[in-house]
Amino acid sequence: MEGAENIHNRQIFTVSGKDITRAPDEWRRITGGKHLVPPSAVEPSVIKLYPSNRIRDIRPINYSENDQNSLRRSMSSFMLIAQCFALCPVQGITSPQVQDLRFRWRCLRVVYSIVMTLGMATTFIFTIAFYMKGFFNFETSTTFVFYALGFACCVCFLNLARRWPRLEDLWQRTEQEQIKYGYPKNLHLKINVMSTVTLAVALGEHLLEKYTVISAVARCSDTKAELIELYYLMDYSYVFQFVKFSPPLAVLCEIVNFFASFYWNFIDLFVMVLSMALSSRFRLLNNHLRLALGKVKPEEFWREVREDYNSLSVLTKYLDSCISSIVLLSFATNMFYICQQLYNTLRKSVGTVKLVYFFVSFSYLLFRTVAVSLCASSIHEESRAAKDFLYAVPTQSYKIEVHRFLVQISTDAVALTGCRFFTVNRTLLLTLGGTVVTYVVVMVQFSSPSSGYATNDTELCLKMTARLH
Amino acid sequence: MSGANNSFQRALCPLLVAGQCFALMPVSGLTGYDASTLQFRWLSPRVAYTFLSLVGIFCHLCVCVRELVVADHITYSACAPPIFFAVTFLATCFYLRLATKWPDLVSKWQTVEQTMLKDYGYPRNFERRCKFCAAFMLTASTVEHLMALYSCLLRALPRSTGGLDVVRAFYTSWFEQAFKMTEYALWKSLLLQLSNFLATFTWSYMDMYVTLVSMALTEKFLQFGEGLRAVRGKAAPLKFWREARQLYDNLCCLTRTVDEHISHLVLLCLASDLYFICLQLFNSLKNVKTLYGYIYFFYSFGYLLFRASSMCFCAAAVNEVSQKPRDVLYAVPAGTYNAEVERFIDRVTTDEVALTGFRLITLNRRLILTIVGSIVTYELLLVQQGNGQGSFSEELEYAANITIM
Repeated sequence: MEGAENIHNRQIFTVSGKDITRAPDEWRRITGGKHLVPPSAVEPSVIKLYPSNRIRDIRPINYSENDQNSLRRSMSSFMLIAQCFALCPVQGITSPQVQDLRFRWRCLRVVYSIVMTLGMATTFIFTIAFYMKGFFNFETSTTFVFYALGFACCVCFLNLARRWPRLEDLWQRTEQEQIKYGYPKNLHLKINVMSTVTLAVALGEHLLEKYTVISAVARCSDTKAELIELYYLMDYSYVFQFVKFSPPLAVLCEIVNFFASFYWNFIDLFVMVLSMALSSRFRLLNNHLRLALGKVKPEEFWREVREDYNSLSVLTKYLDSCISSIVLLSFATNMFYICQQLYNTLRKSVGTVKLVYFFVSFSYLLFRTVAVSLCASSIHEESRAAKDFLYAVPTQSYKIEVHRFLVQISTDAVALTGCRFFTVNRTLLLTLGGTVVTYVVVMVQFSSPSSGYATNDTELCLKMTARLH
Repeated sequence: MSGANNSFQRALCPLLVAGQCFALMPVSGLTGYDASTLQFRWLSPRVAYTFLSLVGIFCHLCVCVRELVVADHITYSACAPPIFFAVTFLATCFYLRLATKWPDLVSKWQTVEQTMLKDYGYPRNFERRCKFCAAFMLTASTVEHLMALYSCLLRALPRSTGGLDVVRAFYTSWFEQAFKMTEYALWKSLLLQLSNFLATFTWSYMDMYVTLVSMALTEKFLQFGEGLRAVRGKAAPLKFWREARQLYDNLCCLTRTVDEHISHLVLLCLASDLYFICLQLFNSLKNVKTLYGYIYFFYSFGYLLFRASSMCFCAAAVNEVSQKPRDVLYAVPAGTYNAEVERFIDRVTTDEVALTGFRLITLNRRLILTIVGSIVTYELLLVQQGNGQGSFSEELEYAANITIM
């Protein structure tokens, strides 16, 4: 197209279409004085817009975040916890400067991640071998899914780590462009409280599960050494069927199990935290719009708001491209575990300790699933809240910019997706519920009565001690 | 012209020529550079070969249906052979019908290619990918057929008296039902084997064909998207937007034309994949006893899954890439927003550009999730049904004869 030669090189825009070749003082007025290098010094040729989704803007920002509610500051301690468990091995995660974030293959954290991935993969292979030996049924498939999830989680987060610096960079740029809206209130506090509560409950649930197994085993063993050995043989039968029992191996198994349990809880928490951060930015935009409700505003105002909305939409799409596999993992495993737990309860009668554990575990799982769905769908909800304000714009103000904004809000699907298979909105929660109920009803209707587990104590003890010798 | 090998006609040529060896797409002049070399004539050896193949598959179908009718009860696995031959019969008919319209479709495609040639050229490396896909499919199908022959041979060996009698035992064991209706003769068994091989090949050819045609469409949209992304956030004149919009319109029309021609094939493909995946999962590891049985089962099931998923993902990609211009359009700076951009946005956001299955279903990513959900649901129901039935090993043995098990 020969029109490409006539592109006006004089004007410079950001990727979201915002014109930045204004006079420096005008720019400063718009950005509230807290911005970077005035763009008059920037050459048009410096702009490079690469194909294939690489979003690169004018020049790097060497900006140290002062506000603790900015994403960099709010997420630093959260990501540090993740890195203690070998997830997302990015260097410079606690620095207030986004420029310090770097992913390099040859560093200790990456090695730690890869070691953990291999550990998960090995345990996963053990479970596959165990089930091929003939122990496969729906009730015991949880372990299989558990370690598959752990392995997939490690791989997904390693992938995410490669793109994490670019994501934070884009987020910071967007925050800077929209500095006149300020920062979300108490984001830092909310993230910390949410992660503390979730991880504490998760730890409690994990310990309660270990307690149920130990108390079941304790009835059959006499000495402490026997108790420990029996416990490992029971709980990690997929490993000790093939390998002889030894204490170092037992410790390794316990560590891998603990990490996998953390991952199971962490992916939900991670999705919740990021969704909360993003939807709070949409909320800031909506608050700004709410102040203009019913008032006559110049077209300039609507143009700026539209461009800010577009920047947030671009940010959401980039975030989605980074974490969509994690979202898919989270929803898929939650659905599987809910089905599995419901199926188990509706078919078997269990002892008291197990019943208590089941109630705690199931209600926590249900609560977590609902929380993730609601948090993640809040992005979609918040992004559409501005529609009401646009529909109520007075006639004098309704010009091309408002129309363009309305078209974009109505047609652009701003939401997280699960690998582009489904969009995370409120309807998804209903669909999930319907699917779970359907599958559980089908399985319970047609399954044969449970015959596997001996409910008699002495029989159980005999079976267990037989494995010991 | 360099790169002309990446044009639609040249790139798809290896796959179509391979199909012609198996009596599909009887069009002459496939190896030319221009659509004018393509010609379909009813009185040609290729069409005669296709008709022979149709007759052979129809014979198989009759035999299977008769077997089903005289059986005591109809089970899910027992339906597999008739469905297999019915699907391949329909597929061959569809390809014959497509062949009559193929020159027209390729010339329409070429028109769009010519308009994009100056600014975009041809897609990069497309020809290499097509060649690789065609070679892979041929190899994989042949290996699968040979494995089925081998498992049949293993079953036939105990029944033979040694020497050349192995051939007789092999064919009578493979086409047991056919040789109940008629006397054994070597020429009959060779014909039956040929039509069986053609049917097996057609079964896997469908998926690859839809995959490659979707890939060709996707490449065109991707080229267009790249050109558009170069002006992202920049000010471009009205003329640029008008030409871009018109080119997008042409691409949408091309998608609709392609969809009109192949939508019934896509639906047939999807339905047969769904059925056979459910069947394979259902049969899964229950009746496998030997190591060779394990290998054969995993290979055949893995190949089926690979084909089905590559077809679904490639066909869904057409819908995805058609939405890519949105990002650029939303970011058009305020000073250069004009009527052309507005028309372009309206077209992109309101028109659904995708391949369909006979216009009943739209092929996008959401459909893949629905299909997986359907497979899981049907599997659960089948497993429960199967628990209440006796052995059905006989139907399974015949199913093994047609390389399904």
